Amino acid sequence: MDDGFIRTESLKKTYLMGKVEVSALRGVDITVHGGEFVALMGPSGSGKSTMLNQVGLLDTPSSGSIYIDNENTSAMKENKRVELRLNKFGFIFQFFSLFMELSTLENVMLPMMLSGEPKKECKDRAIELLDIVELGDRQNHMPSELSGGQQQRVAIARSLMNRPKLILADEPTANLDSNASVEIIELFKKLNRETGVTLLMVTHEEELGKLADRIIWLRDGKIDVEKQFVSLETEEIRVINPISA
Amino acid sequence: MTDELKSIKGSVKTAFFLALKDIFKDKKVTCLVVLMIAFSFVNLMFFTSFNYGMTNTMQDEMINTISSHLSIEPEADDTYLQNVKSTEKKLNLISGITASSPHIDKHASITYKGKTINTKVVGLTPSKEEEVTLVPQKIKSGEFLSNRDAKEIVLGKVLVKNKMPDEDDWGFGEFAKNALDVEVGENVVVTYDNGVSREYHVKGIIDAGMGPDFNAYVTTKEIEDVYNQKDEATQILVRLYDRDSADEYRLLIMQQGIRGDVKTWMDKAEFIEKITASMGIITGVMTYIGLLTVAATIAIIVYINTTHKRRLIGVLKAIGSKDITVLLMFLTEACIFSLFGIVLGIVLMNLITVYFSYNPMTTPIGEIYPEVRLNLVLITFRTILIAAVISGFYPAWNAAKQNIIRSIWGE
Repeated sequence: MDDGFIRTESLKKTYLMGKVEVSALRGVDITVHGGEFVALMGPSGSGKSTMLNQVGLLDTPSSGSIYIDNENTSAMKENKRVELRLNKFGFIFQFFSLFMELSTLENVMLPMMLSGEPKKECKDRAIELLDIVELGDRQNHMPSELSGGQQQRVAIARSLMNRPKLILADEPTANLDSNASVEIIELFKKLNRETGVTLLMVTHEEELGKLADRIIWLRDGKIDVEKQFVSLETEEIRVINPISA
Repeated sequence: MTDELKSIKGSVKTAFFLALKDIFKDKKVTCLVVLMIAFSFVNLMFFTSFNYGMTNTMQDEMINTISSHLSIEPEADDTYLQNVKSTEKKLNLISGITASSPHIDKHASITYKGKTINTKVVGLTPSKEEEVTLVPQKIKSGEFLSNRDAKEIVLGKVLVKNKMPDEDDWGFGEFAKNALDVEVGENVVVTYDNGVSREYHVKGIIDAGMGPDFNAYVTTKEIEDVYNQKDEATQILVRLYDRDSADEYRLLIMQQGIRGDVKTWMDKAEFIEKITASMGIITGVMTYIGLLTVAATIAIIVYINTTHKRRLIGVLKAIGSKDITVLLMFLTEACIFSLFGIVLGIVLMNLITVYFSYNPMTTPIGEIYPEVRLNLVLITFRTILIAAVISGFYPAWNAAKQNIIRSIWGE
């Protein structure tokens, strides 16, 4: 039986804000299969970014379990989590997360350099990826010389450096205009189709979410069951039950 | 290569790479930081170098005017060295000894126009003294003695009232009060401690900046005549080719069977060591303050840097960087800043040394130059690097341990 590349069980996350406990996730169960392109959507404060951070091992849950490739990450030591982030995950953030003192090429090379690969291999792979994101002619440009959309494409190239199995994107188009946003999502779809990489993307833009294979809706830290069913019934957008998919 | 080794190599290489890129990102800031560390380096070196320079000058002055490289003195039970001529012959046979000059010291009072001052009168042979000390060259006015002089005397400047309106009375308190208002060419009466009084013509006044300024000088022949002494001395000063071989020649002289207590210039320089040790305490305190300034500056630089890079540290950790990479990155920056600062500091210190070699500080004890010793450079180098690592460690460690989510959101 395929248990999914990502599986969460009763995932909860509680933050302390001053003396008040705030529940960001209240027991979320999702499954994402290998090679899927899934959008996490919901209103502000629904817990979608918190969910992405938990799955991306950037944070630890208050309770519940996360399985990546059938491995329970709850018991993992920090070193192993770092190794997973480096070698199996690629991250894309909503702000342009590039190092301004590094050239486009050097920014892309960074994850592979961290893995200890020889410089030449890092460079060759970075050039290959910059070509894929159509920035091959900008490899020696500094980030400040690129548009927002181009910077985000550099970040996408960087996220692919170590041939990850999963790309986590947190509102990657939030700071882009609509054309650039569609271009980025189309690029995601292309990468997903051509490399088979699993994509989990947080977005609040329904139009972009529709471009994913399916949408998981969250509300108040839980799966928004009502919305899933409404969507299923109306088939306005393709939403599949997140657990049984 | 194992995965673990590969990962460590990757962390270290990336940390160095990012540190170097960051340093050269803003050249103006880098230049300012490097300049600041360079000045701190100079600050740490400068006073200690002057202290070394002062020690050297004092030692040289002492060797050139008081002790020479070696001095042979009577043993504890003896008042005088005997058979001085024979001793001199033995000394002259030892290669490496360039000259020797016997002294015979007596206590006496010198009177001029009803005013009397007590002092030590040194009997010496001027031609021999010229080979051993610089006293004959330290004449302020008049001339030094010649071998044939009998009724001539040379006075140290402390014994003589100062005639120069722009100089104080040498600052020697009681001596200044009793100083004689005598000039070169006038006569004084010297009453030796054996009761013999003789009139002398003042031939010159010495300004040696040290001990000789308190003495009066006549020829050995004259003292021998006054005391009816022959072939005796209170000390024999010995000059060597190399001052650093004084210990070796001390043993050599003793092996020649020369009777007497042989002392090196180092034995006589104990008071200088004490003075410079006292100065060393003061410069040490200044050095610690300077070092604290360096450490605080580096800590602030690293702290500001980590604050500015908070979000990128979060991104770096999110994409798989270990804490050690972040820590190493900031420590490497601190060390590279320090290394550049030290190199510039060495250049500045050399320029300062060259400047002072042409324009030395003139002091009562002589001309002082800063002396940059290699061990001092190495100690300062090491100290600044250690200070950089220690002071940069806490802010760098804090940065490395930042929560990824909070860093990314700049909280």
